[in-house]
Amino acid sequence: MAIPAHKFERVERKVEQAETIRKPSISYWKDAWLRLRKNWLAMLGLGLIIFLVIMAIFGPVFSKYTYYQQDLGAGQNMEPSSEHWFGTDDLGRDVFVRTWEGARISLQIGFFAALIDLVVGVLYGGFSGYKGGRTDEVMMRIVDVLWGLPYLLVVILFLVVFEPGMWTIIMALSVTGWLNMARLVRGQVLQLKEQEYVMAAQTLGASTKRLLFKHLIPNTMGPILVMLTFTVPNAIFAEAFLSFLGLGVQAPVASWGTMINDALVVVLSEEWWRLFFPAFFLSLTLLAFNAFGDGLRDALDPKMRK
Amino acid sequence: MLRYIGKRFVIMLATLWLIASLTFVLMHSIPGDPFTSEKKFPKATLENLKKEYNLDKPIPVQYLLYLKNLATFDLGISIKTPTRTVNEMIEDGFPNSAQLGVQALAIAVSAGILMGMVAAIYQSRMPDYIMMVLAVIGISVPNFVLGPLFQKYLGLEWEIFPIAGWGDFEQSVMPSIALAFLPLALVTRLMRSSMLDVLGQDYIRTARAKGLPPFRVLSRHSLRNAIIPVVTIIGPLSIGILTGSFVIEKIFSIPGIGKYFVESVTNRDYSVIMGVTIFYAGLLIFMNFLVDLAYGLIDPRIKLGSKEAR
Repeated sequence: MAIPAHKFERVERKVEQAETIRKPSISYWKDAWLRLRKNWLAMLGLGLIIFLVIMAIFGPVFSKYTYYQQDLGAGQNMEPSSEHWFGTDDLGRDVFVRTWEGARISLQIGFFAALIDLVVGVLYGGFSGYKGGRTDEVMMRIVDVLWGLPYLLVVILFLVVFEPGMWTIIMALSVTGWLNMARLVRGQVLQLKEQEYVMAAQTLGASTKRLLFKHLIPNTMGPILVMLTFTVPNAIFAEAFLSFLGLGVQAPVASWGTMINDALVVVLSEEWWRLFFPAFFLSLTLLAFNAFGDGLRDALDPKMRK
Repeated sequence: MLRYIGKRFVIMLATLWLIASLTFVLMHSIPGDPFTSEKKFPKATLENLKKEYNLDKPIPVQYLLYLKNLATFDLGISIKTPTRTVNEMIEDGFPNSAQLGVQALAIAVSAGILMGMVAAIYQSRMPDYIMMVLAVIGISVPNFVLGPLFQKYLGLEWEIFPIAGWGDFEQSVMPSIALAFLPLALVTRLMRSSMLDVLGQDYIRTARAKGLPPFRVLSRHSLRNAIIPVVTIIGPLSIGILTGSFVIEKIFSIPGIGKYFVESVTNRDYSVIMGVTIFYAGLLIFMNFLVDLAYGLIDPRIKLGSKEAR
C-alpha cells in the first residue's frame, strides 16, 4: 500500500535540540530497583521484612495480654483459640504476644549489628584502603589476627563475664562483627582510588575525609548494602542460638531462642504450638533477609547484566 | 611459598595468643574469685584452695604461669569438680564430638557437591528448583529447630532412628544430618554457582567438541575446577559445625565437648570454660591454617602471598 507523499511531514534537524536526551537517564539505583522488582523471591523477602517489622511494632498492641503476664491454672498450655491466637505456654503466657516480643528483640539485634558493620567496618576498611602502604599493612594484619577468632566462642566468653542480655550480645557481636565489612570496603576502595575522579578531587585539594565520604564510600554503597542484608540474619541467628543455650536475654523477656529452648522439653508431647510459632517466625525472618539479600546482590552486580 | 607459610604461621600464633589473653583478661575481670559464690569456706581452706589454683599470686605472674601451662598443653583442673582435669574432659568428649563433626562435614561436602552439580547441570529445570528450595530451607531453619523436629518425626512418630543417646552408629545418624543441614545448603549453593561458571568456559566447549563423553567432561574438566571454592569454605564450615555441635549435643544428649562446655557455662566453671575455649580456638585456627595451605596446593593459578590473591 502506497502512502501519498503529502502525508509525510519533514522533520527538520534543529541545532538547539541536538544535545537533548529524550529518554530519562536511569541511575544506578533506579536500574537496580528495576531488576530487583522482577525477582519475585527478593520481593517476597522484602514484603516479609516489612510485615515482620510492622508486626514487631504493633503485634503486642493488638493483644490484651503482655509477654510476662502469667495465668497459672486453667490458662496453662492452652491450644491456639480465638482467645489466645497462638496458644499459651506452661506458665500460661500468651504465645502470640511473646512471639512478637521475640521479633522485637531479633530485629533490634539485627539493626544494631548492621549499624556496627556500617560504622566500624566501613570506616576501618575505607581508611585502610585509602591510606594504603604501611598503614594498610598494619591495619589488615590486625584484621587477619581477629579474623581467626571463632566469633561465637568470643561472644560466649563475653556473655559469661558480663550480665547476659540484649546489649551484651550486641557488644560482643561488635568485637568481630565488622571484619567482613572492613575487608570488603577496603578491597573496593583499593580499586576505586585509582580512578581519575579521585585524582581530580585530590588535585583540587580535597581532604581525606571529603574523599572518603563524598567519593569513595558512596561509590561502594551497593556491595555495602548487600553485605548488610546478610549481617542482619547472621546476628539474628546468633542471638537465637545464644538464647537457646540460655546465654541470651533473660526471663521473663521473650526471645525466639529462649521460647524454642523452653518448648524443647515438651517437643515430644502434644503442645506443638509452643515450638512451632517461634521456630516458624525465626526461620521466616532468616529466609526473608537471605532471599532479599540474594536478590539485591544479583540486582546490583553489573556482571549479571544481560 | 615458604614465605607465605611463614607469614600465615605468624598470624596463626598471634591469633592464638590473642584468644588466650582475651580469655584470661575476661575471666579475671569477673568480680571476686571463683570461690565467692560457693558456700562459705573456712578461711584456711579458702587460702589453700587459692594456693592450689595459683590465685594467691599477683595477676602478671598468674598470666605467665597460664601461658606456660598452655604451651605445655596443660589446661588446668575443673574448679567445680576438682577431681577432673580439663585435659581428661577433652579426652573423654573429643572422640564423640569429632565423630559427630566429621560425619556431618562428610555429609555436607559430599552431598553438597553432588547436589550443586545436579542443580547446575539441570539449570532452570526441575532438579535445579528442588535443590535450591532445599538449600533455602537449609539456610533458614536453624539446627536447634531441625533437631527437635527430627526427634519428633523421624524418632518418635515414624521410629526410624533412636530419639537420642550415643553409642552405636544408628544413634549418630540424626544428629549428624541435623548438624550437616546448614553447611550442606551452603556447599550446594556455592557448588552450583561455581559449576555454572565453569560450564560456561571455552575449554568445556572444546572438550565437548572433541567428542569426550559427557561424564568425562564433568569428572575430568568441570568438577576439578568447580571444586576449588568449596575447599576454601571448609575452614568456616568447620567453625559452624563446631559451634552447632553445642546445641546438637545438648538436644540429642551426646557426651561430647560441646555438652561439657555448655554445662560449664551454666555452672560458671571458669577453668573449664577457659580450657575448652582455648582448645577449640586452637583447633579451628590450626584448621584454617591448613585450609589456607591446601588452597594454594590445589589451584596452581593462585600465587600465594601476592597482593592479588588476597
